[in-house]
Amino acid sequence: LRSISKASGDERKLLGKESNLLKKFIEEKIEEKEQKFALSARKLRLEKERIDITLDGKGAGVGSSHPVSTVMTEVIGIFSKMGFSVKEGPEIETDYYNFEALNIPKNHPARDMQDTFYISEEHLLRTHTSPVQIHSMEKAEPPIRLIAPGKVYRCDADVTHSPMFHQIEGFMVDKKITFGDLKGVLELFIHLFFGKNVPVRFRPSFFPFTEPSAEVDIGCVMCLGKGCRICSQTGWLEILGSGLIDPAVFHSVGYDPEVWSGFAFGVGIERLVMLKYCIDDIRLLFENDIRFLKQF
Amino acid sequence: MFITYPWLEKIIDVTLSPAELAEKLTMAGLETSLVDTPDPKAHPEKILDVDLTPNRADCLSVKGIAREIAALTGCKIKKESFSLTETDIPASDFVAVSVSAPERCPTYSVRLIKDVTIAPSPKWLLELLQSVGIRPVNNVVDITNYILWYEGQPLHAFDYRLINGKDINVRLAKEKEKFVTLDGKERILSADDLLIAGKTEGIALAGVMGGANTEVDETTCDILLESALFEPSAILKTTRSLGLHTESSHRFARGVDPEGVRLALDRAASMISSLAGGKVCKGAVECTVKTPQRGPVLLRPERVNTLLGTDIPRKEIISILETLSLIVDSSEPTLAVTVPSFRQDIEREIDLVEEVARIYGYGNIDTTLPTGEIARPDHPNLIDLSKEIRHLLTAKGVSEALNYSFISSVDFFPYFEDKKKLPIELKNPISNEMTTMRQSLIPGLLKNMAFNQKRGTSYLSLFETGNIFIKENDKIEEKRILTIAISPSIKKGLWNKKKNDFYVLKGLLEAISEKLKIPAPMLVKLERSAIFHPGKSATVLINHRQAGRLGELHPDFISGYSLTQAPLVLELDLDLITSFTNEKIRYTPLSRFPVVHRDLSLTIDSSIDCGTLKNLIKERGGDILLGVHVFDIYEGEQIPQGKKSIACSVSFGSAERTLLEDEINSTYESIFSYLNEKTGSTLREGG
Repeated sequence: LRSISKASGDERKLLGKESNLLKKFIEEKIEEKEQKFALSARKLRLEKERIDITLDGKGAGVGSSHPVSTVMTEVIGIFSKMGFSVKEGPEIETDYYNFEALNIPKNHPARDMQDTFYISEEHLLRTHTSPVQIHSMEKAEPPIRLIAPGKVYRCDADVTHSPMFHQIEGFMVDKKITFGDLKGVLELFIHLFFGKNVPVRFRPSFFPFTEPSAEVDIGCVMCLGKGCRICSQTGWLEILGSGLIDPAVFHSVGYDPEVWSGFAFGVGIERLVMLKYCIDDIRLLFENDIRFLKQF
Repeated sequence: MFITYPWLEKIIDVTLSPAELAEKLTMAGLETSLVDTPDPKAHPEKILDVDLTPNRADCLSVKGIAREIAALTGCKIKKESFSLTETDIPASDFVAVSVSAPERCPTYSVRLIKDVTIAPSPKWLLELLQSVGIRPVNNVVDITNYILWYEGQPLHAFDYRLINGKDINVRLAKEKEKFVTLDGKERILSADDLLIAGKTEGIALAGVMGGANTEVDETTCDILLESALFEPSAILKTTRSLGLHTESSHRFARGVDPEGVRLALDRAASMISSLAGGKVCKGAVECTVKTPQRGPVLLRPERVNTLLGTDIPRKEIISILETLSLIVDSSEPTLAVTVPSFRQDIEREIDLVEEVARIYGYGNIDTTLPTGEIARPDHPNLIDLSKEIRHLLTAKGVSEALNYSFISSVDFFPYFEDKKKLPIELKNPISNEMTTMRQSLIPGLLKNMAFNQKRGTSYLSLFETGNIFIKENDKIEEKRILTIAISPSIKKGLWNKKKNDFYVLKGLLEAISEKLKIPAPMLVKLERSAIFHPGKSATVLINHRQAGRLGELHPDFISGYSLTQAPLVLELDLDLITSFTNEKIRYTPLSRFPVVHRDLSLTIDSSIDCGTLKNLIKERGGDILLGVHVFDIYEGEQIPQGKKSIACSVSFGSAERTLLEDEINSTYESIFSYLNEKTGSTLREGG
């Protein structure tokens, strides 16, 4: 190309054209090569860049919700979907709201069914969440559908009993509530929580605040009804207490039992947790061993 | 209540197997399980263990259970009778009875049996008693226990000659009166306890246990046999206050059959006469308060079906009631039901509805679903809030713990260490470690950390939500709080080498406030705490209200918990937080104009905190300053002593226009000189 300046007019044109073509040819070839090198360089890099994909991921990992919280939330969810309101109440209650308003007078053998922690003559730690029921019925007119979740306290401690545990008690009051409705609602709850195929039976019992009263059993989820240690060889596990609300309770809150009827029920959350996850000792739920907590 | 087939066979022909019987009773409300005898090889038969509910006092006897079995199965009750031969001598010649507290003892009756021979009971009686766990004593005492088990009426036998005088008085004890019971223990009675007394002293704790002073033993010749009725709730009160429960008190506390009192007395006298050879004096000496007969209980048959949701015909309802030995007058539409005296638990219409339901069979009642209005269901914010916090914290690697609400008094300290908040103590705690209601979740979580540390895990992040219990100005208050405790050390891992510190905890607090959309928390110096490290802790304020505390724990406080390192703790008042969450989110339009970032590197006194610096920048920055973000802090080489280097990114922008270069520059300069003026800060050398 440098020789172009030495050439004559026509030769210049020809040389120019040829040199440009050559220049272009060379430039293209160079670009081609450059691309080729870039490609192979990239290829080489990709082959060299390797990581060990089996190493742990970055981040703190996740913590666990306590199984009692999980089951509480699940049970509250089931009843909420059926239109039940949710209400919490104080854990320290008066003797009146914990016992007397629920048709359990002082010095009555029914009190033996629930050993109580006392704070004073007047105050105690509630033994069930039923007081919330009474507070609600006093403040509102029926119809009413409500569940009361929360901590309750009883002087009892062994493999299946804890001095503090969780309950959800609920009730439904309307104009034509029947025992059949009680069965229906509780059976529905059991099927939603344990599964559709779990057998359910209702058997007569006694609670001072319900009449007729019933214990609700499910077919033992461990041995499927054959009999085992968990169900004391009976094939059935007691899950819920229930019954039609006793007229005496209606009287203490000012509802007319001739107009309104209703049912009440109660379930122990720790019991559900232990059955759902096959836990054999209730104390594990309060020990907070991280190896236990992380399983849930 | 234990029962065996030999017992039952005395009164009913049972055609069902033990398993079938247990099932039938259980499904009728008497939960029955089968138990092995103490010697299953020699005695392979099963014992029925009937777990009775408090309302079925009538089944605290073989007779009562037999009645139930008859009603449920149709098995026939045997006709039974006994003969009682009396001498001509009236018992009233030897004993007189008076009741000073008739409301406590509506019936008191005694018989006198002379010239008995105390000896071991015959084999059949020994076997029956032992099979249900009753310890044999001698023939007379065994007979009283036999009658208690069979009839359900507790009796007591006194050695007549050991009673001082012939007047028996049923009276209230004197306050602090002493009495030695049959078990040899001295009891201090109160004026609420009822005594059977002779002239000078008590001879039995009424309804509970006899006295050692009149015990029947091999020297006894004459038996004074008592059968009575005592007011139930007072008996229960006595047993609770003395901590003394017996088969007798158990029955009296639940109510015995008023019409069975005399029958049991006579039957026992007859048995004593035949087995111990005594001569029964003529007549019983008694003191009875006449109680009016219970009127019939009215039952509207349609009420049964309305409440149960059934369609049981009137005839069937009547039939069910009659199998339960209830007498039905069906001449009117409403049934008038006469309830036998042994069913003290049936008093109201609803009680009859229950009887019909349980005999009809709960399994036969159709399952239905209720219909009703849709109502506005209430759902407490606190529950949703707790759930959100739970999800957020677990996503951030913190696990949830659950601890008891009661702690030991040693671990107790008041809420936020406010001495005006007083502890609430339990009168009857289950252990010494659980006497006081907590006002902080910290002790529980620290114990959890120590527990796990002992088992090999010293890196731990835990949180708990729960109530604390405060007594202040005689009022009891409960508060829901959240507490997070994290250990400084983290799990040894490939990537994360940094330990947990105050700022990790602060990060969790900020995450919570961001997620719940509550006003940003402000941290101020924590005043006076024995729990937190004075230099590494803060009070959390939200909208100027104390919402919590966070920081590293005080080494002195930690020393009681056997932890190798002081954990970091955040406490938050959830009730207060809930009150802030009702704010509605309102969208703010996005700015269409560019944002300019400028870095500002300063050398500043170490004592000036970043918060102060940011506030100064914001003050001078004015409207066009959008934010200040600190991204580097450096202290050490190249920086003079007592000073630190801070690098922050300052953002400028406007929602209305593009900012001019000059504006930004002049503001930037202005900020810098303001900072220099207020804090003596200088531009960092070497940028």
